[in-house]
Amino acid sequence: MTLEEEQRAFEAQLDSLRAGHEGQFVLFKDGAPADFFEGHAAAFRAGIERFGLEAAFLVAEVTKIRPTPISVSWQLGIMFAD
Amino acid sequence: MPTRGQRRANERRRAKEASRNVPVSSIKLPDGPKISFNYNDPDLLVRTGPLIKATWGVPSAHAEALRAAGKPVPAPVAGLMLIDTGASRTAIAQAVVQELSLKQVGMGYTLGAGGKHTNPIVAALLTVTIEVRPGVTGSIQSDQPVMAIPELDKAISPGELVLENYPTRVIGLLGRDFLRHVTFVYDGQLARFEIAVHHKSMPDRTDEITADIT
Repeated sequence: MTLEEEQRAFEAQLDSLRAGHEGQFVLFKDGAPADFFEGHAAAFRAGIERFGLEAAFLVAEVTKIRPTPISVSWQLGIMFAD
Repeated sequence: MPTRGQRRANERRRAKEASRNVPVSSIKLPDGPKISFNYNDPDLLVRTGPLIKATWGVPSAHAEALRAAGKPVPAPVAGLMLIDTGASRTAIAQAVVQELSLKQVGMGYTLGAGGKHTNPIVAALLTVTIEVRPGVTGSIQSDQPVMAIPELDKAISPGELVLENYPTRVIGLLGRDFLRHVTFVYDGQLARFEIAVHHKSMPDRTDEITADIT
């Protein structure tokens, strides 16, 4: 699966994952959670060790997805306005 | 060891108690590692914004995998990070992602003028230069997921800011996820800012403070 497919699968399962793992970081591979961790770095390390550097795997916090501006001033084009 | 959720709950409780008793105007920078910069010109600080020295590198797990495969580990990319209270998350310039061949681990959603956008989330190692104590510099590091922003290093420029033997390229934004772990005092009148780092509250920090005594 591509990373985009992993992302779609993760989002489709997010509500059920939140029920038991809210705030944890999931290592997600082949459309299913492989494991859960307390931090991103540990989940990323496990992904590299289990699947290799070249494999597509997803690491994400199990929490509600809230789209936000990267930076208000950047996105309004006024960060370095004259 | 407290879980991430318990740690956050404790932090919320402490912040609530502190806000009841301490007016913002009386907050003093705590002892410990600091980041400070004196621009000597209030207009220069207006034009460049508060910038701090930092590097991006590959996370330790990524570096170990490269070494095990007999591949070279890219050297860290040094530059300046803009402290941006308008940014919710720390972000990295897409050009730096490509230079370091950082691994994408997901996608983040952002709101912009054209609606909802997706940006790559990569695993990266951020190293921030700090002053451990007067005259002694050091660094703190954090393995973290960060959002990549295209054209960031081209679109913004620190202008006429000149640093001796240090690149003035902007390599990312330090957002409120970083500011959550610091006390930040910005004095526009005196053209300076100072940050006290509460490094022990930072998630996924890779080590304690390292001092480079020069």
